[in-house]
Amino acid sequence: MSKNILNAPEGMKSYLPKEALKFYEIRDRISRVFQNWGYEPVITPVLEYYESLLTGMEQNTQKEFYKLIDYDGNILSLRPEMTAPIARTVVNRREELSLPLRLSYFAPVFRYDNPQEGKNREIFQMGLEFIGGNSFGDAEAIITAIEAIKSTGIEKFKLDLNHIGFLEGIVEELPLKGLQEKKLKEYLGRKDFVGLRNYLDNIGLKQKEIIAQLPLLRGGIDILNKADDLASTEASRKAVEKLKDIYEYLESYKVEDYVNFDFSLIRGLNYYTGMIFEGFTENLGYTICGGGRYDNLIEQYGGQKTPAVGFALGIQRIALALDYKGTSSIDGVVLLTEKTRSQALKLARRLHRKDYNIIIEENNRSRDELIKLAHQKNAAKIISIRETKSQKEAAEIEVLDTNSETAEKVVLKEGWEKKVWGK
Amino acid sequence: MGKIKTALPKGRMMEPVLDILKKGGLIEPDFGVDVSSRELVFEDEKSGNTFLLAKPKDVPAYVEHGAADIGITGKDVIREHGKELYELLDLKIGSCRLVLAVPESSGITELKGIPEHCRIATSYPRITRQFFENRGIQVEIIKLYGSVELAPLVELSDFIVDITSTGTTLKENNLIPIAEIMSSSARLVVNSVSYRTRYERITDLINQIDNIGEED
Repeated sequence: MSKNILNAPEGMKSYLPKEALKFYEIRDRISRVFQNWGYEPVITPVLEYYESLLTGMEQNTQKEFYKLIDYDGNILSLRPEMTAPIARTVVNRREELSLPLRLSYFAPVFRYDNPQEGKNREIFQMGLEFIGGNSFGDAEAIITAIEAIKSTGIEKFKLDLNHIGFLEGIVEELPLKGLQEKKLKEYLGRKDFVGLRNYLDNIGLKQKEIIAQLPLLRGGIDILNKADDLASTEASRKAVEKLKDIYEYLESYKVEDYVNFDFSLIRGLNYYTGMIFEGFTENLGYTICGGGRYDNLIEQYGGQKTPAVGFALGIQRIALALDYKGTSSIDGVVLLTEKTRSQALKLARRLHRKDYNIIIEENNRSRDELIKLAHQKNAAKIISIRETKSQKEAAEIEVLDTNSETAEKVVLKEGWEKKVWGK
Repeated sequence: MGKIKTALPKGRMMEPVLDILKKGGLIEPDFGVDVSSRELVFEDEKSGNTFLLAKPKDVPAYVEHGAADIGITGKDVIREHGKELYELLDLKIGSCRLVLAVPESSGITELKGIPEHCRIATSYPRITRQFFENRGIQVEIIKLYGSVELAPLVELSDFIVDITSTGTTLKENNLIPIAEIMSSSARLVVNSVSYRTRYERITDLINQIDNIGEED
């Protein structure tokens, strides 16, 4: 058999219930936080026109796109992230929408990256976009990101904050030619400080000290004062001012302990225009979230210039950082035999209506096998119905407790379910 | 202060690297690593820091995935690995060059003389491919795990791309380097998250190591 028949494409996998339940649990917890902040879900197509996705994106990310050609010859692509599709949607459907928009999503995105642990080619992202927001927007994005991560149960985590205006301000003063600015940013972004030093020596930049200082500009609120001293242009000073402003909001919401400032932080996507951030947790070698402000993107899609800020969380990575396991929440198993099937289904119907999670099984296993099956699903009770001649609803059932492995007879009168399950 | 896990490169670079880390204060001065032993993980009891002995080519993988916070290996290896590692310091040891070398008998003396579709043996296929792609030369790359200089002798390949420090091995096999692809030395690389969670400890280490060079 060809290996392509049995295997998932590289970097992709099927998630069995244990993992999938964990993802759902994480999703539910984060959803609650997003809802608390007034974010509403939006769903966009998995496929977009390639040209559309490229809007606001850098050339060198292009090879990460999955591309397809449709029968009309259009190039389509699987979305590699959600901000661009949402920006497109907002411009496309602007008549039906009014600002400010608080939109959230839970969506798979696809990147043709080299697959490794924690780096899948299909990435489940949860995130939000705050479009047409106010000056508080930056802080709102950061706080919701912190609250979302906290809600999953991750305790030891930090967000690194930067404002791209700081570096822009420094660079604007330097006599850089052509690609030099891009190169410098590349070295900084990769934190290749050896390469950075060598490059600065190579191009003979006199003001190299200020760039060489950037990697050291990292730390708590004190670092903002150091950055302020280094800032020699209006743009750089404004960036520091903005970060101070954001920090004050974070203090008021009492989440300031979760952030650091890192002035050499650069994000891969080049549509960012202001504050940017990345989150990471101890003992996991990858970032778990990232985002920032993108005030030009809506305009690039043909809309009016609109301030916007957003972030995404990687659900698989968050799951890697968490110990808890996804658990089934089956309350019981109802057994049916040829003779009791009508009564069993009526009983199951009654329980389903009352929001109990009940699975129905044929009574063709041994008692031990049944208990084993129930344990796998975390089902506390196995219910069987005594065979009677009457096809009416059962009056009496036998309830087997799967932990104590003892059985008792239960008469079906008002409120019996509460007695059996204690809920 | 957080403990640091370090991936060390087994082999010729090991001794000088240990010296540097001792001077940098990551390892206690009296701490010895028995290189000949079969142990692969060591703990420095005083500092609580642990050390993994890995093949130089595997160091990037340990660091990238966070199995080690920091690692030391050659720039050639890092570039061949091609992944997200923060490269914070040049240790300026283990210097070597990655070169394109041709058999003396070929008569070729410069890159221009390399014919299209020739076969090149190397244990650096990624760097080699990039090098030739950037110059628009199509070549066939044969990946070998060692003794690359053997390949042209037995006509497995026309040329080789390999590292050389003194040039002796090349000369012994009648190979002449005609182009330098990159120069390399040992680098200190850091996992992108450890860089943040253990920032102070790691910058301390870097500053101390950096100062050694200036004092000398």
